[in-house]
Amino acid sequence: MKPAPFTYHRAEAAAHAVEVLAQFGDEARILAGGQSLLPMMNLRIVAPSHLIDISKTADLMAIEADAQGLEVGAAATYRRVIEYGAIGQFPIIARAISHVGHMPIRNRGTVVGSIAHNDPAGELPAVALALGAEVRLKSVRGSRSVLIDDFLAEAYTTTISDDELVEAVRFPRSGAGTGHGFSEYSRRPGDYASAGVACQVHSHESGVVTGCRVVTFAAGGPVRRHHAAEERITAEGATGLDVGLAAQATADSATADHDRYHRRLIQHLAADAFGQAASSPRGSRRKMNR
Amino acid sequence: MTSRTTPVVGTRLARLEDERLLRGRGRFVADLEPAHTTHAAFVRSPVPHGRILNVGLDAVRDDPRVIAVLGHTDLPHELTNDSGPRQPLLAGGEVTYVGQPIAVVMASNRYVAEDLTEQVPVDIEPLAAVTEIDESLQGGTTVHAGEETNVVLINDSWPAQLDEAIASAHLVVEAEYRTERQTAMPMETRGVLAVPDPNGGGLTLHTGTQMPHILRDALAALLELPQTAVRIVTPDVGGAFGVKLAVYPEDLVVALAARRLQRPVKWICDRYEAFTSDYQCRGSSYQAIAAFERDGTWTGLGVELTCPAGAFFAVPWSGALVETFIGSTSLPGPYRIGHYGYRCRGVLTNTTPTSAYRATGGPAATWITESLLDRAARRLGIDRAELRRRNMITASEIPFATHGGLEIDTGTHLEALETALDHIGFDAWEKRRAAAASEGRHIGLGIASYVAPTAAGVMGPDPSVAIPFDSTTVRIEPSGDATILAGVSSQGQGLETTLAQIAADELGVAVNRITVRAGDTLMCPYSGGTHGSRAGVLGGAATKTAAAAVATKMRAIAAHLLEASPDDIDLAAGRATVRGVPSAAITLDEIAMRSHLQAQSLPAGMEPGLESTNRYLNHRYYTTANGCHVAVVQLFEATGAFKVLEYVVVQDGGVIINPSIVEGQVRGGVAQGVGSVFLEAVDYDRQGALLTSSLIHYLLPREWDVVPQMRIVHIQSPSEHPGGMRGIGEAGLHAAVAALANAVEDATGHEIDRVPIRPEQIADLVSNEGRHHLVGEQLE
Amino acid sequence: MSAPVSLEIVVNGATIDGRVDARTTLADFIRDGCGLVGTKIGCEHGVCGSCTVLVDDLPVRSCLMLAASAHGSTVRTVESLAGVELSDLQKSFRDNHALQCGFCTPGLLMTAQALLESLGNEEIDVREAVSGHICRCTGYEPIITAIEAAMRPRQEPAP
Repeated sequence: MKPAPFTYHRAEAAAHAVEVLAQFGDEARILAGGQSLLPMMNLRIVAPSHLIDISKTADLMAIEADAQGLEVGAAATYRRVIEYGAIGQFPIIARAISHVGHMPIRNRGTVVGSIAHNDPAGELPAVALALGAEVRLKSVRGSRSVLIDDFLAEAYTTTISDDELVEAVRFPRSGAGTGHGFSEYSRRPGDYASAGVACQVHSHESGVVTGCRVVTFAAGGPVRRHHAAEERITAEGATGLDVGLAAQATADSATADHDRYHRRLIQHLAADAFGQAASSPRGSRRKMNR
Repeated sequence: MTSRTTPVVGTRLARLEDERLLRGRGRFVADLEPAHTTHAAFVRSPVPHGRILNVGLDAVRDDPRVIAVLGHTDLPHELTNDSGPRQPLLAGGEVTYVGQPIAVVMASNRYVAEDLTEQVPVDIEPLAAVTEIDESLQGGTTVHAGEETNVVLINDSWPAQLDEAIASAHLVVEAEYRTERQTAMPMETRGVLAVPDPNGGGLTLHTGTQMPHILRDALAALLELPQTAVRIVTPDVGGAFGVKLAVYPEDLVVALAARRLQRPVKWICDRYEAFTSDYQCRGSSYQAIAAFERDGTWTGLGVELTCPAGAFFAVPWSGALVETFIGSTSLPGPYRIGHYGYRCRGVLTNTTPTSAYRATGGPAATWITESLLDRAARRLGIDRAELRRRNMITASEIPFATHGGLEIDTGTHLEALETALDHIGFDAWEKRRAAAASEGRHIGLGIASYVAPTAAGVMGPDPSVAIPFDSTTVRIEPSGDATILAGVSSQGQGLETTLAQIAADELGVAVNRITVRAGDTLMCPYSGGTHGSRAGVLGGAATKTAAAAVATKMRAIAAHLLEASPDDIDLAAGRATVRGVPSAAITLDEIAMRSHLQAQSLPAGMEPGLESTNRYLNHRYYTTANGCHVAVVQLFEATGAFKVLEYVVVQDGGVIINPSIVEGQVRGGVAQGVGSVFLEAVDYDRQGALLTSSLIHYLLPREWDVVPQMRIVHIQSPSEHPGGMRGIGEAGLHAAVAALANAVEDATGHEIDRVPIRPEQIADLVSNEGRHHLVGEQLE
Repeated sequence: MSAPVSLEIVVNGATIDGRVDARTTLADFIRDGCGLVGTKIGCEHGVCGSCTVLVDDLPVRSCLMLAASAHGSTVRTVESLAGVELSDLQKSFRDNHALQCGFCTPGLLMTAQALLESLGNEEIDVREAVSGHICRCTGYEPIITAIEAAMRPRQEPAP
């Protein structure tokens, strides 16, 4: 379990990283925290010829909250994001991160790396999709922003080009009347998730649901939104969010992908997630582990 | 011995091993790196069964990075298996399991060695594979092409009276139980460092084997070397649990390669390799039938055991042998059963060979016996504790010969049961369960009484399967410091500490004057190894006896110098004193000095020096340890999760050398029971591909899975062996599977017939979905 | 072979300025490059925790980090913990029988050490903190006891 040989590039700056990417294309991989990439390299499931290390690249380290949202640079570890002063304004992100692996994994792993990897059990692609985040892609050709919906593809794949680097992810700040929920079950803390649900619900002052995003991950399927469930929840939310109905709608929508156990688990987790969203936009409830 | 100081045996002495291990100065095989070491990596079979068309070793032979590459034609050696086909060290014509070694590459480091193995083209024509025991038993497809059968073991004992007991019974309970395949997975993987030794043309093999002498003998035979030319050294070992018992192909390939290269060759199994190449365990089926009278009297038990050997019958002990042997021995437990029978089948499968895993065969046996009792109790309408009481061996029946062949010499079975039930509050259990149910919580309680066969001894007139003795040398150096050369070696159990405790009491010296060395065939006397709950019992007895002989000699010397009778000499606190005359004393250091450096002052005719070797032969077929575990678990409907709420262990393991070490063995064993019942399964698909090849997929118990505070109660009935130990290494796991699985059955009201119980199943059982057996009508 | 990479790194207080094969993991660099074999390699896929060391005071899996990525960092291993005597944490492990084979112990000690160093006023869940370590021998209970015992003197307010 030793990695195959490669040429190592220590990226001095983002510009340097994309230059190397431009030169080597799909023969190169970006190394940020390495907590997903290095196990695969140790097992020789992947063997890139070139590795571009951005873990200490200064202009990719930034974490910044502004009026519009929270921007996290490609080299920012989970640990630094959790310790960031304004993270309290984005409790669902903090909650999602608390489910990622074990503490030593969170000390090295990165938020952007998780999204770029698009592991079907990934907490960060799920929460990014629920929040409608944007990823900023950089290449020698320039930069572009892509909505997370258009970035994530099937499990372990994204729509990124071979010469592009995910420079940062931007989580929008939610307006008044927005609630969030994130609920995950893993057999033990730090294990890969058995199933998880992330949601965002917009409500009018009156309580009328005006829109929502519902995402499931793990449970045997990729990270994905459930548009049918979202429509049902919104349509039937004229008198306010019905948590039980929302959970049922999520489970029904998941039917095609999942077996009985995972459907039931999704319904259970969705009830928890929508409960969080209903109780408070910044509600914080304890983790679900059983 | 009549020491006046407090004995060290029985105290919670801090372990002597810990200082070096805590500093990071433990030395495991991977930590050893002599000059010019070459690193090996194996080319392994990617398929469960196939005909090898080509192994392209020539593709790398001329690569300048290759130090050597060896295939079947270079090393055509085979292991001599007791049953079934002989096992090539490197596969030649045919591969028969995923992970089977095909070739080995040596390079300057492991990175490069792995690069090179990837460059060896391997062309294999796939053949039909058999991975399931039922399919194997039926025949049709054979595991090895050209063989007529997959059956490699038959052992039947089924008296006609058993059939009569079943025919005339008031109640017959029938059930089929299954254990899925597991693997022991110690945190340190296997590893071998072979260093050629110019003296005698042999070599030294550094490896974490549990049986240094057995491995030495096998290696010497294979290499056609005198046993004196082969030395096995076990450094610190990071856990074994049975997986480091077998003589593995890799051990021998590395040794042969080192001989050929005349350079050190090192192979450290990586975790991925461990999943395919470590010998596995369990994966068995048990067809059970039990007969009871109306009053609960247990009149008959019969079990058909079918256990997999994997692709080869492992050397020295296949899982098919030990699972069925220990299983059929353990099944009757502590119960008076009218008639008992078993039919054992061992079958080959196109999977990694099987061998031992802690208490091998015992966990399943205890589960079956205790589960049958629970099911009978429900059908008979008798309280399950009461049914056990009625059938349990009492103190007045001791010694009691079980139908499994054990001679039980402890009468503490009922005491253990009652104590465990008291601790858990069994009388209030049904109320507690009802209260929980009213809150929507699903809780269950499981009881498991067991008798564990330990410390195998002489098994009859024929040569034993296991070495029936063990050996220790105790030597006092001229300084008065003691060296103990133990046959039995530690894989983490703390034998350096426990053997020192035993010797300290005999010699009357402080533990810090004693150094224990073990696991070196050159230094240490012949040993059967550390397994089967034997090291403490037999190694401890040998240590005690050897130390007592040295103490006797020290008393004689002291008596001579102090002009007293040897019978009046006490050895304690580093001094020999004449009883009743405190002023008449001599230090043991002086005795040691005189016995070496002033031998002329010894009693006339006495041999100089202070040294004794004892080889303690165990005449008893098996010693026994017994006890009772009670578990309380909670199950969760939506997630299928489990939580062990409470766990009580009452055990009689004989005399306890160090309670902390014993409790460590128990806790570790119970944790492995949690893994066995809820987490751990080696999964193959129907085509024989391994699905669980990482610790992400094969779940080892984590801190979260175990009960936070286990209650452990000790009963100590001394055995007949010097020291009085009964063996405690395996008892925890022996009973834990039964206690936990029965607790799940109790919680769900559904019969559990397969372990591990997966979350999907728990969710179904708790929510009453899916198709499952319902338990007897007595239970709502 | 990968091309060598320049590396400046402080390991247990000693500055190492040299070159390393690019693909060398930090775990292998510590063991083979620095001769500090107290750090154990258990799984090489980041699950078992045996190889945990402190990089810039944070516990990380040294099997999931390239030595090259530790350029400019400070690394501490199990060998750094004791002086002439064992540290209080190590003594607590010994006194509570928190180890058997000792293979997972160096990694556990480093995670526990980081926990001790970061102790503030907040409630620390030791079970959660060490949940990333697999021990096959002890059943974990003594490990938790040992770490909690080592934390206690530090948590008590100064007189």
